[in-house]
Amino acid sequence: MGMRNSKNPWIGVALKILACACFAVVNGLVRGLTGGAEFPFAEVAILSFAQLAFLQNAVGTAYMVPLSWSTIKAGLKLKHPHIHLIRVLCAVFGLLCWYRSLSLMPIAYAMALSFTGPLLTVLGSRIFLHESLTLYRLMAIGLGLAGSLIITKPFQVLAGETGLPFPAWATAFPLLAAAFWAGSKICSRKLAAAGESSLVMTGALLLFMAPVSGLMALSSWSMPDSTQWLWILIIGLLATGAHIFQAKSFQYAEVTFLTPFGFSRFLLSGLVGYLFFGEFPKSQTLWVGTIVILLSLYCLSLDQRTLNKHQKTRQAL
Amino acid sequence: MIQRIHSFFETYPHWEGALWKTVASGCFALLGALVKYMTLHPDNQGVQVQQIVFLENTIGMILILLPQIRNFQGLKPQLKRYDLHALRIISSSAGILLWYQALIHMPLALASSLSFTSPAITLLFARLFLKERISAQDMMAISLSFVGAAIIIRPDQKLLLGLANFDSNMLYMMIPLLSSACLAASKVVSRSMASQGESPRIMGTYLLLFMAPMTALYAIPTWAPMNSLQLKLIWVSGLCTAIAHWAISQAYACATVTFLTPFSFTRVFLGGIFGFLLFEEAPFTTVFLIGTVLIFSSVVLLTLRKHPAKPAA
Repeated sequence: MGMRNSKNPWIGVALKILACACFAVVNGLVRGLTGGAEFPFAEVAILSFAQLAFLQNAVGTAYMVPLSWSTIKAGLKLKHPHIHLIRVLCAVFGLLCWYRSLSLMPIAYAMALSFTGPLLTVLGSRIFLHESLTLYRLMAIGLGLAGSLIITKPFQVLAGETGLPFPAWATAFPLLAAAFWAGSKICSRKLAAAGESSLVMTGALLLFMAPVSGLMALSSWSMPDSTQWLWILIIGLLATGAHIFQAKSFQYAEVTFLTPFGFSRFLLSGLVGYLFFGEFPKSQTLWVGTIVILLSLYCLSLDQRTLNKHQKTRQAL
Repeated sequence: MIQRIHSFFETYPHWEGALWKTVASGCFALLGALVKYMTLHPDNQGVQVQQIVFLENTIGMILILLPQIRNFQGLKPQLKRYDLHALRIISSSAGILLWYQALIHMPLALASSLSFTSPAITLLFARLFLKERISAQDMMAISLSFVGAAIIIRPDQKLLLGLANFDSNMLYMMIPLLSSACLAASKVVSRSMASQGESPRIMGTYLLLFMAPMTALYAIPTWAPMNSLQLKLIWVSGLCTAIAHWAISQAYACATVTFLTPFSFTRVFLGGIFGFLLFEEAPFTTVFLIGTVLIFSSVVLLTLRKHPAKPAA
């Protein structure tokens, strides 16, 4: 504890925002390269999203092998292989669903819908980890649900008129991505509770994500040309960088302190969508829905704070 | 006439087994052709092969398991090795998914022929992981299989459809071998589980039950709306899966594995016919035929093994 307090928490904030920026740029590049919108930087042939996800994972692994061989080796010493298995599968298919949604809809929409993830984590923690549902958490889930309903307009969809700039069934993908990520987060918690080290957890992801996503990439594989390779490399490095920055940020500040700054991901991604593709969502329902979902996430961080206070007073006693 | 056929099968039940085995192989060949047809059809709007495999698998699973639903009580695994169960289900699912990937990327007959390397790979894995003994005859069979595969995969043979690129050529040619390796791995795990006392019926049911969710994972991210032709053919292919499974169990009730194995080679010939009729594939070069004969002879050698492998002391 003392170590952590001696470090400047605002460095942690800066790192967290940097990670969010990396993710936002990756989102933009993925949308452009998979043919979701016209790629602004170069003339590039369309790459399938599954192949992109695989190559990104492969670049990440290849980059980390010389840097931290011990992490990779740790990935082989799994104590709870079945939880690791579910975690890796969730991570891979979450990423795949996310890239599919980027190839189908403007980033802002995908981002707003994917923010339902933390709420699903709360629900999943109730079911699988038997955590209690506090008033704040219930409020958060209600608000999150309302927010995503405002954005996806299910009643208009049923009536056959959405006004959304993409096919209605596409809304399933960011929601599925959020669900998969929630699953992977719950597995991480379960592993952490069982005493698995974070080194082993990272190693498992680095080792197994590429082969699992590789099988997916086969059905639409085409040999990338040199321009595509360049961009794949950039995406792989940015994504790896984002993960490293995120992990580093937790060394400088508490997770709960950093959570609200994670919301910058939405703004930055929206900005990237606007700068890269000129996609500025004018739809009021998107903005209203997003604000409602962000409010619900704020509820969650409030809940975490009260929990922490309780713990501290308990420790003091 | 029917009476005569009936009395013939009564006198020679192993030929009835051969008939069932041929029916099963025919169903598998048709299934491959159907999946390829649905995927490569010009009206297909972005439906990928894994989506079709998932639906076909699910329909097949329901058709197979529904009649046995009463026997489901007490279907608890005896062996509490969930890691082995998981490994087996994952490797089979990967094997099946890779198999259909191979089908859409290369001629049906070629992929079918290469898939018969699986028994040789199984034996290798059994040597590596279960420490089973390998005789000189087994070594011969394994080498025959790999030489056959190497002759077929010769990169200078432009057997692939519309692929001028050497690298992609090699990559696609490896897919059926990868698929065989995955299926071989699943077989070795099953063998190890069976030796530890797990019942084959439970293993079979679990595989059927969990295959659908595993393939669903791969189907979900690429999901796309299907057209009416695909929706109709999906049911046909599901039915094909169920018939094939049923025919196989009938076949093994009538005759021994050794006798039945050569009849599964019909898959390659039927694959060739379907491929020629539906996709204008004509991979029947001399090289292909030599390779196929080598792989077939290795399979025959392996089924003739007199002593089932005993673990080395």
